[in-house]
Amino acid sequence: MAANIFEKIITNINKNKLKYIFLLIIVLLILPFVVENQYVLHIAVLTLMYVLLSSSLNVIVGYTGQYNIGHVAFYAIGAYTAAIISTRFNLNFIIVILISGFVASLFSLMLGIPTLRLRGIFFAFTTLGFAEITRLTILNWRSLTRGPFGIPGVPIPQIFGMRLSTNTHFYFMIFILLFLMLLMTYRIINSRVGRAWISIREDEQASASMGVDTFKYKIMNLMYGTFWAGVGGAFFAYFAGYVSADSFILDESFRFFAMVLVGGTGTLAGPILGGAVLTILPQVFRSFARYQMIIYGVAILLIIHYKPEGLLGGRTFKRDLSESEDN
Amino acid sequence: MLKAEDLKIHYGHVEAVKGISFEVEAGEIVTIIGSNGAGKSSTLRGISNIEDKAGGKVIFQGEDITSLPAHEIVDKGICHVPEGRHIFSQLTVEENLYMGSYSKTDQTKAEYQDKLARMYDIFPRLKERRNQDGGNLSGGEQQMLAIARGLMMDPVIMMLDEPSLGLAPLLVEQIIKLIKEINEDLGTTILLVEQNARKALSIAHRGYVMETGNIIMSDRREKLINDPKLAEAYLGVG
Repeated sequence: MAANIFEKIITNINKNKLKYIFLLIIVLLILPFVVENQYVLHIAVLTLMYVLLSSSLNVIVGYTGQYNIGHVAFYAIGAYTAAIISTRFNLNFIIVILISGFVASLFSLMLGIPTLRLRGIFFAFTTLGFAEITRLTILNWRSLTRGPFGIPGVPIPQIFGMRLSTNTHFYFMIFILLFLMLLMTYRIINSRVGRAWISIREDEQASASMGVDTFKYKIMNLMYGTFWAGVGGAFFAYFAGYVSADSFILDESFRFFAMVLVGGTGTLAGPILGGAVLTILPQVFRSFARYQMIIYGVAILLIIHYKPEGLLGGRTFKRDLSESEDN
Repeated sequence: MLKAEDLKIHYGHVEAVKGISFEVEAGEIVTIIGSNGAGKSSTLRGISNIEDKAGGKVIFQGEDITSLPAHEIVDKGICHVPEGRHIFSQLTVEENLYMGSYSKTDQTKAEYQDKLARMYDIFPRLKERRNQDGGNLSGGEQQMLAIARGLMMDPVIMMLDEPSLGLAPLLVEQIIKLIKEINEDLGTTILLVEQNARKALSIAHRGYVMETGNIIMSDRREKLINDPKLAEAYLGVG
């Protein structure tokens, strides 16, 4: 019954996709002007940030089927890169964010070249290990990261002489980043590159038999996804004004993963819903904050049992070949 | 056109292919028959470089392609339809066919549509099911899809690995007939690997018989069919 209603809603949304996307953008744009409660606004910023991070993981897990469970490492590398260079050099925040993305991407290249030939679970273990190595390196390389003390005093970002320090400013900053990310990802997914990614997810051997350079496209996919994780990390550094290794424990990786799984892998809409639900839900129940991971656990269990492809996953949003630009 | 010289493929200490040589001429249907585990599939996987070769050489149209990466071998016009079909099960039939033309970067939209229509002519079943997910097709339909997807890349030579595997006798008949038609009507050279020796030999021009990593016999079809030893071992007497 409930599932039926859900299907109906999805069909309706699917039919009027553009209208709903437009509506969502309008609502998100108006939100900071309507909401005066700073706490709610703070949560709204975090929500959009987590949507960005889970979307970046979805690029890797959902579109190419590479089980990267150490995604937090790239988020951490982005955050630390931003904190380190912004506290030492006087650079515009936009440049810092870009550099942070590239640095995260570079690390994924170094991780990817030796490990992407590994299949499935082995790649997953490697990324898991990489996340722990990254965290431990941060914790111990005191001359660069100040170890357990973290890096405080990340400067307030400025643009055209305006200081961006309020929740509303950060809200729009992350909104723009997320918008760019989704737009770019949408374009890529519907291009030759996207087709190659999806075919690798579906069947890597067949993909190679079709003439897809699977190794190249896997590397490209990993670098693209981790770039946005780095961007998310850099944003976090500016938003919090302080970075410390505590923020980048493995729990974060599982949180991203839960968001992607609950929302639905391999769709752009999935992680948006998953990211939003799993950021807002624990806040609603924040009086038992220490049971937060239980919420993620239960959410994943319920999804795996009732809708294994995720709330918006599977072929819910079927692509139409006749719409694509390249044929 | 396609020539393997002293081809060797090892899995760890297991020597799956122990240095075999064979040749396929343009326009031919050549079959490699043999029982399970003889090294037939490994041979194809070695040619298309999905599997690393332990030794030997592969020459295609006079060019040494031994160590070209898999995707470049496809660009040369060698299509490998792998064992077990390996279709993209969550993509629709049409999306699967689209992926087949992935390597044809210089192809126009009209040419693509044209080829798609031709595939639907040859495989009317696929047209009926064009918007269904590949995973929802029956075994026979999946095999047709795998072949059609391969044809989308206009291959010079098509290497088919056990296309009859797991299909009902009537469907096997149909697939075998199709392979012959592809060879005759489209002029595609065929290298067919089969356990079903009788069916394979019914359309092949020549055949090689493999046993535990070696080629033990090779001849024209008529000779092979009438060979008493072969009849006993692979064709089933009677």
